[in-house]
Amino acid sequence: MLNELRQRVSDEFQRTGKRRRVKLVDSTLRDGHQCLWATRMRTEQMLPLAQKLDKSGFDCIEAIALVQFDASVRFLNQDPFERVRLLAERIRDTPLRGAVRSNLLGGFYPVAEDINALYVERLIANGISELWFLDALHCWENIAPSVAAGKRLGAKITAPLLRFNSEPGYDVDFYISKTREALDLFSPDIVNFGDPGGNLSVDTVRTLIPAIKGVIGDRPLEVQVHCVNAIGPLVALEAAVCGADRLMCSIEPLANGNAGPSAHMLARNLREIGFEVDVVDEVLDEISDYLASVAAENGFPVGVPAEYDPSHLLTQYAGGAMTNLQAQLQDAGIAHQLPAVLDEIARVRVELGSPVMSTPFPAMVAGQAVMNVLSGERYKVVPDEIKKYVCGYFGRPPIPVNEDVKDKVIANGSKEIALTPPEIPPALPALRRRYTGLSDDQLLLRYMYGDDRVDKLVPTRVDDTFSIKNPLSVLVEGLAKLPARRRVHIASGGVEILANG
Amino acid sequence: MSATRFVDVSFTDGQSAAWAGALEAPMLCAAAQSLDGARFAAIEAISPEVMSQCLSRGENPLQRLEDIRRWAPTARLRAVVDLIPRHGRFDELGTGLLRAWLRLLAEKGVSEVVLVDPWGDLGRMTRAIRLSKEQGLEPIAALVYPTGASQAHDELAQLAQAFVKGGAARIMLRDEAGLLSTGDLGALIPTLRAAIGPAELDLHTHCHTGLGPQVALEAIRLGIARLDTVLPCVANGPSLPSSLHMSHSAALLGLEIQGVATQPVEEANAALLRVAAQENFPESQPWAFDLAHFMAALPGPLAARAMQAAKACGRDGFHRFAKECESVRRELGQPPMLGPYAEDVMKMALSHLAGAPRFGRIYPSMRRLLQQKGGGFSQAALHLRQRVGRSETTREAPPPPNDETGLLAMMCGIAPAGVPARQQKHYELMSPEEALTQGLLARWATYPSLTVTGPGLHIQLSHSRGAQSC
Repeated sequence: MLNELRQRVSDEFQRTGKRRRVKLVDSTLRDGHQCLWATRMRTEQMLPLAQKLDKSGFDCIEAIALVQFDASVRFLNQDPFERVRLLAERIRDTPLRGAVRSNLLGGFYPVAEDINALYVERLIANGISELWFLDALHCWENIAPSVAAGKRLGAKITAPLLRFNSEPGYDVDFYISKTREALDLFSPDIVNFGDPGGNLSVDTVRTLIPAIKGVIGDRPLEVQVHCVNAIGPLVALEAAVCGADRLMCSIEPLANGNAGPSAHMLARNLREIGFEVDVVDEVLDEISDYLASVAAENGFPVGVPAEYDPSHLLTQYAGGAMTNLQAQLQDAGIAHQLPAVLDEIARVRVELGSPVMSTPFPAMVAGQAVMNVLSGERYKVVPDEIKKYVCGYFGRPPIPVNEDVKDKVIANGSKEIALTPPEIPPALPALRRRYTGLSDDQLLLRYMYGDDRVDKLVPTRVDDTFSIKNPLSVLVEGLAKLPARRRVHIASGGVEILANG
Repeated sequence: MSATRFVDVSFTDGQSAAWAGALEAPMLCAAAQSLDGARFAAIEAISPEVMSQCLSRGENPLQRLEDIRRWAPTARLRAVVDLIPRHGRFDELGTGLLRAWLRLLAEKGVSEVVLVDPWGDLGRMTRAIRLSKEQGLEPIAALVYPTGASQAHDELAQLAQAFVKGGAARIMLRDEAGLLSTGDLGALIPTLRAAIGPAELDLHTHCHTGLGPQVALEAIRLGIARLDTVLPCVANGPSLPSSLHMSHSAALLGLEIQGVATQPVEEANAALLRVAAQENFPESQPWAFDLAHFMAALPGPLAARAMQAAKACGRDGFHRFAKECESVRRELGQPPMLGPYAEDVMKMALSHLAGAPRFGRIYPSMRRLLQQKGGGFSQAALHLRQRVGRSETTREAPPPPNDETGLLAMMCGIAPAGVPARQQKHYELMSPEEALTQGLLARWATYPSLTVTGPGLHIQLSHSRGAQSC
């Protein structure tokens, strides 16, 4: 395999006369902790590494998406706009990217166009210079107003985010046609192809990547894989060999397992087969050590490579969503139901027309699956999101919903939900009247999360000290604080410290 | 095409890769008893690597084999035989020594033998097949998946066909370095099957690159007869795919397997996990895909050792080591990465990584390799070949002694006096409380007093003025 990859890269070099540079996009602060730390990394834990990250040689650094907004406000009592601002003050040389998830904000429900436009505007105002736009159903009309806002304000646009699905119907023709649609609508700067569930195979990459490249011309193609099913790093390499220009990754220990591939490993392997890669390995090492110390200090798990498991092909469950599902079942005291829930997810997903398991659909499908498992009768209890999905509130699924399931969902779902999605009127004028004098950031956060939650947000204690804490250094630090004349004798496995003895 | 069956190699390759070969015979008693009823096609009980591990800790390898036979009385036992000895005291097993060793294995209850010749030498393999059959053993001719310069599938197929013509009814594709991918397999297995006709094709693959389980499932889909697997606690990483995971996954994919009995396998796994907890053996984990493994091309247990050793050289230590391995292999003319050669390549690359002069020391097996003894070739770098000179003589194995101890000593390349005596050892698993108490008692003399307090537990040991209280 190694020799074959080297040969293919060498052939390209011979053909084009230049060695290709593969750019890396860092997603440690966005997808990395979303997949492994349930998005619980705090702003003050990010700030000390920000300047180093800026000097790491990444082509772009992902700062935030709506999942980070939610976790920041709901669980960390932190202002996500403040995070963006503080990161942007420290990351000055590398473009900082934010994500726009369809026309949805908090709560997964479509919101008014003017609200989405304001969200884009505030991201840019706080320091975001690149934006990517996701719609997991590939309904580009859902993201069109936000893309227009981003373009108007001068952001670099990554769109569409094509999302891989191994179900029939999601074939080369589908992706080609969706790419063409998006190019016509948005004329984006970058096109992204991603695999949230980690199920992309080498063979598929060999077909899809050249096909998409053939459509997008000189625009860079960015590829995102996950390592949920062990083969992510290999698929990323294959994508580069097939023509991908940018690869998303994250820094160990926020790589592997449910997360994306390791920046270290990708860089080494890409260079090994003959590509130029700009990242500075020594700086990545320092950031890795720092993140490992954050993990140790907070009891966060580190990314462990996954065992290949074909059951993922059935559930197609995204990395970050898997971590959240496990945490939610644990919190609900039904962690033992995980295998049954995963089996049910596989069934529900297919019955609902196999939506790409990218936010918000993993959570929605899992919600229905949990209800099915707990109630004992499938679709007896129907979450509102599922009824709205079936009724087209999120757009038209590329593959139709199973008719029997659709009937059950409509029959058992909330009667409050109209079968035809209503028009969503502009919301901003009323919001401005309600919150006179508030900043747009505050106004938007209050719209998304309510006054109570926003009132509880606490400003970040800014400290840029980059310190890698290990138990010994903490011990010595503690000892240094003792009165100078105190006699100290500490003995433990292999360590003995004597002072003033 | 019949359903794929699983072979368990936890006691040989599995524990060698995952636990550095530290699983002593008494420790595997409970697991072996459980595996006896687990419906594996065979259990691999002994290999040259395990024999070395046993000797290094004063354990008699034949006693280990006898113990496994006693604990798993109904299981079909398998052994691995290297046709070129790792110790390098002679260049190959002669007919007499090989016949005597195979006879001894048969007497100890072994039913089938994997015959491994790093060079795929047809004459040696054909002789070994014949001798195995003479002793009533079922021979399995190992077809070593190439780790060096690329070898075309049709060349492998020709070799497999020649082995079958030489009498082998079973061929084992042996991917010691875990370098197979599903892409390779999709082309290779049909080619091999076409070449070997009605003979059966088995697979032994490792998981260094993380691709092992996927490769194994693809191999099942393509209709291999047997798959080597291990218990989950020693699976993945440098080791092999887990039998339970393969069983569940194959069922999920609707693949045709003659599965193992889940409960005995889980019991065997639990038994080894208890041992691991007591002995502080590491938890088995998958490794991330890394091209470095293709450069190093090391068999599982050696890859694990190298990974550990290279850690001291920084985060990219293994990658630098692997590059050096690739360079050493190239200079040596791409030797087969098995047996003695792989270990020498690893040692040489590690020494270079540590700053030692390049090829400062030529190891004995490397010397014989460069002198083209055992099946070598002349593609090694000229400066290395010139350094060792030529050797006209082939070192023949002496006639085998009549006694077991002498025979074992000769197979292992040691003096008979160096063969450990048989000892009846019993391995005692302790409860956490017992382990704690034992640990405290071992340490109490060092301290005036020792106190441990936990939920429902209070232990105090003190020995002021020579007295002690608990």
